[in-house]
Amino acid sequence: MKHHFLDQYSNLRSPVHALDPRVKIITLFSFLFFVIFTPITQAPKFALYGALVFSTILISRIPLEFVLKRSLVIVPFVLLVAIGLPFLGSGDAAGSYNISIFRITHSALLIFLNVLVKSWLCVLSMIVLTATTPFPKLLNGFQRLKLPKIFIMILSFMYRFIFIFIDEFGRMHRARDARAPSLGRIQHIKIVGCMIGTLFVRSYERGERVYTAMRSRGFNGEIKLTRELEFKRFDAFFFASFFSLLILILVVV
Amino acid sequence: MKAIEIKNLHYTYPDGTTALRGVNLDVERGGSICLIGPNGSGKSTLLLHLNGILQPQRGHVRVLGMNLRKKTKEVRSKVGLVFQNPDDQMFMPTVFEDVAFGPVNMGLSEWEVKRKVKKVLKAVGLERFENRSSHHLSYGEKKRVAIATVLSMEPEILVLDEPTLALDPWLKKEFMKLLKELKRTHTMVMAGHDLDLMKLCDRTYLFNDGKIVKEVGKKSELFK
Repeated sequence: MKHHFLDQYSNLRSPVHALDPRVKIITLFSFLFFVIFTPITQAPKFALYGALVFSTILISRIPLEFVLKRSLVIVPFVLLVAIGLPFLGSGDAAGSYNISIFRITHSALLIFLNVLVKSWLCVLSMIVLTATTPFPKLLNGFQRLKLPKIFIMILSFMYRFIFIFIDEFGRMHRARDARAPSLGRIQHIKIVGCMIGTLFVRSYERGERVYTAMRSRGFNGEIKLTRELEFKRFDAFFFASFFSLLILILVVV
Repeated sequence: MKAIEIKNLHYTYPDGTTALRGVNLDVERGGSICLIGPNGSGKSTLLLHLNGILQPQRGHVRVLGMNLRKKTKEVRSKVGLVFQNPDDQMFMPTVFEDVAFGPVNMGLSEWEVKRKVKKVLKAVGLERFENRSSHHLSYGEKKRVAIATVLSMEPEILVLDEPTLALDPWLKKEFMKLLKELKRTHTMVMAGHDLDLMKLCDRTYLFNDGKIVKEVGKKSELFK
């Protein structure tokens, strides 16, 4: 079965897709850096950061709807911050925002806005990176940027086997439904618990077999990976222009 | 010098299951043999001894005249072990990286690795599959890539566990053709319970309860 939660749009053709993953990663991190260190009071700057992200999304041809939907992942975190708001900060009460005994202050609202805007922009930009880069290439980029090999290896195993686990879980699910079509909630939870246990044991055994296969092919504990990338003129151009736009926003606005 | 020499091999798993009880087997260089036997008879355990994944507890195994215990690394580069389930054999994100895994571990240069991968993929009939994701392949393609991952190490001996398991008759026919092709250039050891494998091999042995019971010539002899 094909699964699409990774690599759904990463094989489209666009200038953003064609970029060297290293360039994309570095651009992303410099963008994050700029966003995080801009004081929240300077609203125009954030508008421009947003414009920058959205124009990248447009150029990459990834459906806007997809990006926006994915960016909803920040909602739980932002809510968590929002719960704490009434207890945060001191200073002037923000007039009509008061809720019964809780006083919401201007500074607390600013903190909220700070978290909301910055995390949203960061998540949006990360989605652009991951949606425009096939996962193996992304790993390749990180590897060339000297992320520890062990992380790369773990991530690449995850990428290789997560779909197999999902399929396996799907099959177990079906087998259960076939034999026990109507179950109470408690029984249901019990069975899911057993299924998770079984899945764990199976993956443990698979891990053993995979390790055997690796040893058979000369693996002796040292991870060597080969992946090639080529840095093109367009990559340099993209990074230079993106970075100078960021500087421009910082200095001029 | 024989390709494989096994004398009085015993093996018991840590949980107490005795898998091998005195196996004796010789395979000539360039020869091909087939071990036919029921599930759980110890065939896979025997195959794991052929490249030193398991070490003999009693008896000895020599591969191309080399003692397994002393020359594990050399033996592993000479014996290509293809597992039953291709998903166990392929653990890298793309086909290229998987096929390249062996050669890279052998310390070959980047250029040589690339050349090998290309050559081997062509040999198994999967040209231009380098950048495909492993989990997007069909079962038949995975089986082929699994063989390619081993061929890229240029082994002299190919060891295949249940090579035709779970293949439909059409895929199996194709796959047998590939095995026949590989037989011309490699010493082969196959294990399974697919009686059609007998056609591919010079010799067939009936394997049961951790031992080689007898050599069989024809299918009909198996059931006497």
